[in-house]
Amino acid sequence: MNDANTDVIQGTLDMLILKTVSLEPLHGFGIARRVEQISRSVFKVNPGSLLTALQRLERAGWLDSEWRQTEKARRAKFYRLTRAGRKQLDIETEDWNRRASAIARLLRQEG
Amino acid sequence: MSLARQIRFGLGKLFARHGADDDAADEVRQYFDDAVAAWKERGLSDDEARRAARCELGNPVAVGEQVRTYGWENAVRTFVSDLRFAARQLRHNAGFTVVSVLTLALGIGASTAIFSAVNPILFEPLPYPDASRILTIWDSYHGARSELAFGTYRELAQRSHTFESMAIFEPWQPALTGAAHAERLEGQSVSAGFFSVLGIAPVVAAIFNPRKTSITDPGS
Repeated sequence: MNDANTDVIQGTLDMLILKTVSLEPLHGFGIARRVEQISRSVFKVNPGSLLTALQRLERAGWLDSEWRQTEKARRAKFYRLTRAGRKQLDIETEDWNRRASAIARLLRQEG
Repeated sequence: MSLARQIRFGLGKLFARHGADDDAADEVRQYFDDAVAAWKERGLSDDEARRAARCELGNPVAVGEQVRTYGWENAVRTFVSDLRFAARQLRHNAGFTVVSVLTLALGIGASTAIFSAVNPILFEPLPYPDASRILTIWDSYHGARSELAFGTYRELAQRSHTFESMAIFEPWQPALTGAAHAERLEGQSVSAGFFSVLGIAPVVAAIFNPRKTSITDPGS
C-alpha cells in the first residue's frame, strides 16, 4: 500500500476543503486529518497545497477565517464556510457527480 | 472571484506586512505542531514524532515559503524589493550611476529634440486650411517624375474642372548683393494665384493681383 498514489485528484481539493469545513469550522491540520480519515488514507493532503488553497478560497469569499483557541488551548486559524462558499460547494459537487458517473459508465461498457 | 476581496486582502497583507507574514508563519508552525502532537499520541517519542511529521509533510520552511508566495501582492513585494536592491547598488557605485544617468539623459534629450524638430517638418501636414485638398501635379517622362512645362500648366488651368484654382512655381535662387558680400537666397518663383491655391494671405504687403500680371495666367 506504500507505493499507492495518495495525491488528491487534481481539481478536487477545493471541493474537499469546502465540504470538510461545511460540517464545522476547522483549522488547517484538522481539515487535512479529516480528509485523510474519511477517505481511509486514500487521499493525503499536502500542507503547502492545503494552506495555499485556504488562502485562495478565503480570497474568493468562500471561506472566512478567525484565530481561535483550539480544544488544546492553542491558537489556530479556523476556517468557516460562507454562504457563497456553500453555493460553490453545491456547484462543484454537482459537477463532480456528473463527471464521476460519466467515467463510471465509460468503464462499465462492454467490448 | 470577488475582485474587491482580492484587493482588500492583498493590500492588507502588503501594508501590515510583518503581521501578515507572521500570520502565515504561525499557521504553518501550528500545522506542524499539530502533526507532531498527532504522532506523539500514537506513542512516538518527541524526536521520533518530529521526524515522522517532517517525513510526512516536508520541510516547514519550504511550506511556509509556498504559502507566503501566494497572491498578487507577492509580485508587488518582489518588485519593490528589486527596486530597493537596485537603488542600493546604484548608491554603492556612484561613478557608474553618474555615467549611466548622464548617458540616459543625453540620449533621451537628444531623441526628444530630434523628434520634436522632425515631427512637424516631415510628418505633420503643414497648417494650410484644407491641406488635404492641395495637390502637386507632376509630369512623367519615361516613368520618371518631371516638372511641368508652363504650356502644360496653362492648358490644364484652362480646361480642367477638377480643381478650384491652380498655380505654378519653380525653384528660384536669387543672389543678394550688398555692401559687404553677396549671398545666395533660396526661394520659389510662383504664379499670381499661388497664395489663393494654398488658401493663405501674407501678413505684410498685399497679395499679387492676377489682373496685373503681364503673362496671361488663367489659373486663378
